[in-house]
Amino acid sequence: MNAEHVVLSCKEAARLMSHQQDRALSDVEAEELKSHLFVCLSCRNFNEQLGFLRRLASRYGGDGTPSPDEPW
Amino acid sequence: MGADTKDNPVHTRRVLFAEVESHRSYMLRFATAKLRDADQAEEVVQEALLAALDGIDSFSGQSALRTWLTSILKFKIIDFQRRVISERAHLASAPQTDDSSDPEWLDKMFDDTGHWQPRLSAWSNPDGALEQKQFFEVFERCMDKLPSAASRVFFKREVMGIETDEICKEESISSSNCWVMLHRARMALRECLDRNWFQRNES
Repeated sequence: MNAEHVVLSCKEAARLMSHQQDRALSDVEAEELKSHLFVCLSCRNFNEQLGFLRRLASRYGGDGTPSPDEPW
Repeated sequence: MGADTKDNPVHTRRVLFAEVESHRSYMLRFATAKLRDADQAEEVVQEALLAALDGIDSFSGQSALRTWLTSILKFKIIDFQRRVISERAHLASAPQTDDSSDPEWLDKMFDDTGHWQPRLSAWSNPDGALEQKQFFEVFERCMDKLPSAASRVFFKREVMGIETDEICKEESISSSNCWVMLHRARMALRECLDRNWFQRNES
């Protein structure tokens, strides 16, 4: 299936993925997003990265930040 | 055209002006009752009095002066309320238009059909980055680049873990405004981390 056939654009899907972190999506939104993610690799990557951003921020807020002495 | 004061137009005007002025306190009460704001009432009465004096020649004397003045005042009050409403609508619509149209930098991440350009590839070993001090420095620099309001809202939401409703209240913004702000902040941060860390550490 070509991404062209997906009703939801990546731009719209990105917005929904972001909103999903702040509010519950409506059934229609959730369904549309699910179908889009099924066919769109870029958006699946984006979703992963959003999740990572959340982990990163909470790590930054907690004491999980590596200390300067830690080797990297 | 006699010396008779009754027919002297200047004299007549003066008397009328004084009489108009004598209705001011009534007009103020009337306007205050309508507008529920003393300052606004004062402003409207001032406008009505000026209009009345300006158009005093059209006062036929058929109706009582107070009735005539009140009809002018009513018109001015409606006029004033319309102005206030349209000003409010204008203020309210300002962030609204900002909501509906995306900033240029965000538009540029997508092509005309709304697909990612370029395509988004997966980040290699993101969890490894969480162990590196330098990565957090990049993250901080990326947050610093956000507009201050967006940076604050993102920080509250993601770093402090505050619920969106509470953030909206604190920031006095609507929920949808809050979501849009967070979305843009995430888009900008993702792109910044991608460019300044993941793409560099790939090869």
